[in-house]
Amino acid sequence: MASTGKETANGQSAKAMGPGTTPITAPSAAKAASWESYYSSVKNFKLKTKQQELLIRIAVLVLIYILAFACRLFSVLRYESVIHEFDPYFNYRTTLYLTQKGFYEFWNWFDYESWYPLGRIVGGTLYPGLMVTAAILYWVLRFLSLAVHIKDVCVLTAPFFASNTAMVAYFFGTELRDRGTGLVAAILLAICPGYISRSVAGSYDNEAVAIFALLLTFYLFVKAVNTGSLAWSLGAAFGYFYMVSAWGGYIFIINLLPIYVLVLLVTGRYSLRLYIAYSSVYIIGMLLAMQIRFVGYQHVQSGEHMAAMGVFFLMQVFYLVEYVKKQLGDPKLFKAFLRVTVTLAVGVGALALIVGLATGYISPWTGRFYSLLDPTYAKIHIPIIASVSEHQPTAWSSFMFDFHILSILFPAGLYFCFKNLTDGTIFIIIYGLTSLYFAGVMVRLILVATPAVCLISAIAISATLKNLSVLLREKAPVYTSTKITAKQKASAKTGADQPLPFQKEGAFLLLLGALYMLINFGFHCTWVTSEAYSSPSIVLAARQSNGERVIFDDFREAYFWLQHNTPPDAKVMSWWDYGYQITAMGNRTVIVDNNTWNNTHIATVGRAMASNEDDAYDIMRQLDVDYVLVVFGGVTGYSSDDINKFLWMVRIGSGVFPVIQEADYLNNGEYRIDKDAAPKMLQSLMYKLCYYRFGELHTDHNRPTGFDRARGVEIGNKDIELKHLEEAFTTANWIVRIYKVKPPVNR
Amino acid sequence: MKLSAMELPSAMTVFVMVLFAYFLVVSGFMYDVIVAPPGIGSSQDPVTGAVRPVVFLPGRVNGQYIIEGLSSGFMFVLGGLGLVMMDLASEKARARNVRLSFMGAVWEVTVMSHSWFFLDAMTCTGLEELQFGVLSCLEE
Repeated sequence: MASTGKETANGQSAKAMGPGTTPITAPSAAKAASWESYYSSVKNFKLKTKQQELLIRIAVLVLIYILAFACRLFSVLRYESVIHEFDPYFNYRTTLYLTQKGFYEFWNWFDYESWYPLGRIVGGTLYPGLMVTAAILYWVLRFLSLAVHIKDVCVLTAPFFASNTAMVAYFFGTELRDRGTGLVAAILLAICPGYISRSVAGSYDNEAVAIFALLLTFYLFVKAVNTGSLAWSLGAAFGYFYMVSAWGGYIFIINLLPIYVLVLLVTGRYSLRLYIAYSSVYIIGMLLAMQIRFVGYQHVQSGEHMAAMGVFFLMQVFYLVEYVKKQLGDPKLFKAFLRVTVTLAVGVGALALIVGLATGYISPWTGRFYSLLDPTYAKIHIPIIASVSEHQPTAWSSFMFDFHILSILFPAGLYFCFKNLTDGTIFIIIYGLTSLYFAGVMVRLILVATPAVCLISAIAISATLKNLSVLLREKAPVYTSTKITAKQKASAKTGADQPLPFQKEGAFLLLLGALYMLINFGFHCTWVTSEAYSSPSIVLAARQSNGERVIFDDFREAYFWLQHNTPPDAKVMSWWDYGYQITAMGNRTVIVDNNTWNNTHIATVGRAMASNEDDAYDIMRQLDVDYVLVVFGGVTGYSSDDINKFLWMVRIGSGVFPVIQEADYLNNGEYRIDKDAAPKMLQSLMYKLCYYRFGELHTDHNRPTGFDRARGVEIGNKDIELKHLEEAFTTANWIVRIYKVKPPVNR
Repeated sequence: MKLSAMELPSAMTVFVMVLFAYFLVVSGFMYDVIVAPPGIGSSQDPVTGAVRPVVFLPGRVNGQYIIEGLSSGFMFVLGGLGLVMMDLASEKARARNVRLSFMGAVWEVTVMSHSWFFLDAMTCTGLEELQFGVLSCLEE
């Protein structure tokens, strides 16, 4: 329409110029005509519906992209651009090393500054995907002459990839159902707290990149199964490679794909597309995964990967049987062939598995993943895994907290998926159910379930809104012919075609209800992000009684003291939680850190913390320790300090050294630190180091001296004397305390 | 291609089984099995000495009593079923009175499941434990 307007305007201006009677008025007339034409073209500017839809869609996606990034920036705005928690500090240190020394140095790095005196082969024991991604972003920005610091790139990597994940969710939703579902899935994933918890700015951990890789791999695989194209399968294989390089959770993909294929085979949905997709993804993905040194040959050697191999061979058998069926004309002959093939295949497969397990070539499931199948295993056998708070089973309140209305929409979405079963919806059902089961076993895995829950809930929202709007728009049936046909008569009797009473009003109210629910969801997500998931654990905050916010920066204070006031080759002993932070910020060698790869070493440290001062001194001399660092929350009320973690030190220590017994540190089964504490507890090194000089301190006006705020009791032994250690540094709020180990007495 | 003469269950049968499994997972069944909390909590009234039941576990973020978990899971599933019934009601092919009863169920379920949302406040109280206690003064 715009073009026609212009034409007429041009025609008019041409006409105005045509006669050329008065040369003076012609230019002004032409100007006026052109302005008029412009105005009329703007007024008549109307997009076609398809273009309108495209514009709205692109605008919504751009807004979702910005929103996903922006809502993760709370901690950067409140505190500063700082890296959170413990594990990200190791990732930051390795990324720093990568950008400074180059890829080959990074790949072959032996780190002698942690796990003294063992050291750690960093190149072979980490997943390089995250570090390489951040380094590439850094180099690209530097190439564009934007002088960014690597720390800022690391801090903002997670929100950037969260936005990308929302875009992938849009494409996935479109693939599953339609574009509306895609848009809803994108917005749900952008703000869902389950995902925000591990992808907030500053949370520079593997999951930041891995969830993007996970969803990308799944999307490309479903696309490959739907189209049967080799190109999409290749894309899925490369997505899988990115996932393997990023996170140990790739085991989930390599086990979910075989389960999905099995379900499709059982429900009779075998097709050539599925064969092409799975075979290509498995072979190429496996070959690519072997490039990561940490993974190595696990794809052919580890029990956790055997399901994928078994299903791969099963697919070959299926293909062979289908091929033979086409060639053979005789159904009876084919039945005999089928029987022979099936028994042969099952027999050979079982034999291979038994031989592999018996010779030890195929290793059994490792404890970390076995504890997902048998949740009671870790509690009894592997206390280190059981001690992490993220590994506890999930209560309903965590589901509510992280999912809010999505936990109600999920079953409805499942119903809509089951109603129209396609290859894609079967996949999302299986992904949703398995990931929810694992999320129920371990709180941390709610993260993996979040994309599936968002997608299925998006299907529910989209379908419900469609139904409601159809009800809202329904017109009364119009009888076009004068003759009333038998069908119309019959339907008029049962009243099936007639609208429900108050249909329009009811549908409108329900639509308002849906709007209210979604707005509520938005508020909940923002509140949860702001209050619960945006705290950089390195900086603590609390509210005073007058409502003012107070910030504790004790950790960084202690680490910088270490960096500036101790000799460069000093070795620091602390509990493994703080290892990464000490090496990254304090730049000193530690005995144990968060990698927890050597249980005996950690048990030795635990034993040292739990023994009395003389025994602990012997262990510390053996390990060549110069400084001991403890975290103490008695003055501030910080409850995640070493005294509260002490029983775990005892448990882990007693797992290796039976001389330490948990029962010795309890009084009648109760863990106490007041005057009724067990004598071994009062003599332990941890007690002495935490409460040294604390007995002289008044923490509260109404309470006696030495009142421990975190436990809420007065401590038992106030006169503590240290023989082999001396106090080196205590931070302003007594949260971190550092002690120097004295050299042995000469005479 | 079918290998055996076994008949597969219909999609809706599988959906019902899956719904039951979802109910178990989301009511914290694993937590109940591993941690084994009491069925319901109890607190004693300081004045009268009477023992009163406590439904929601106070003071912790990731914790629950068994009955609390099961009722919450039930509410989630009920809300989901309400949406399912709305879809069933909007199908034009069904008889009118069946559609009407579906719509009634939708309203009832919507009201019930939304009332559960105000228990969001219960999960909020757990956050006080995430930040450590209120400090009176810090001049040291």
